[in-house]
Amino acid sequence: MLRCAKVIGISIAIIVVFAAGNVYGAPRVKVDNPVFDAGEIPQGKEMAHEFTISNIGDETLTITVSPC
Amino acid sequence: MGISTRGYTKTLSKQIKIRTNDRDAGTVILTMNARILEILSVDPPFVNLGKMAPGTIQGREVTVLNKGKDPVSISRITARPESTIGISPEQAFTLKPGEARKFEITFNSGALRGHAGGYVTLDTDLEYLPKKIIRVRAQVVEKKEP
Repeated sequence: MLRCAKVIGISIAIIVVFAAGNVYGAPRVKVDNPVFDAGEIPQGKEMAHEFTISNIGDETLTITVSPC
Repeated sequence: MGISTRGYTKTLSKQIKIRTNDRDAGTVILTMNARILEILSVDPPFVNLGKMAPGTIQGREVTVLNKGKDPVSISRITARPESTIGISPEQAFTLKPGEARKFEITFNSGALRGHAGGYVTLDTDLEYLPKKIIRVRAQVVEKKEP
């Protein structure tokens, strides 16, 4: 009975470690200012802005860009 | 991220969708907003003459207004195709702030059939809008016999 409890306990511990690995071993995207207001622009002038996208996770972040 | 403001006259809002493999964030939307200052306005902004018969000429008066704070010089007015579209008067002119000028755009349907069109180009001295384009279109249809 005691041996059975030890096996179950070890199994649970292993599952928790793997689950934790899945939670923390992940990409995390961060965009500081996703909305940019350029204010007033004369017609014809190109509106340009540089957005910074960061990966603050610990796995590779993959991104695909498409216009809405 | 860069966007041309040439075709906009009031406000501009553009969005870009970023799909990621971040399970929590998923898709991120980047947005750019602006208010467009239309310095040289044209009324109507494009000329649609609707249906017209072959071999006829129709005209439409167009008003160009300087809504800016500085004079705007229109150094040249050209029409394409010249065989179909005419401008009167076609002399160069300068608009003071708040000043407007009218001219007429004519369309000669000639032997054309179906949807036809062209454009009138105003060459300006505006830094960001050296050419203001007015599109012209018509539908040339045979008159039905009574």
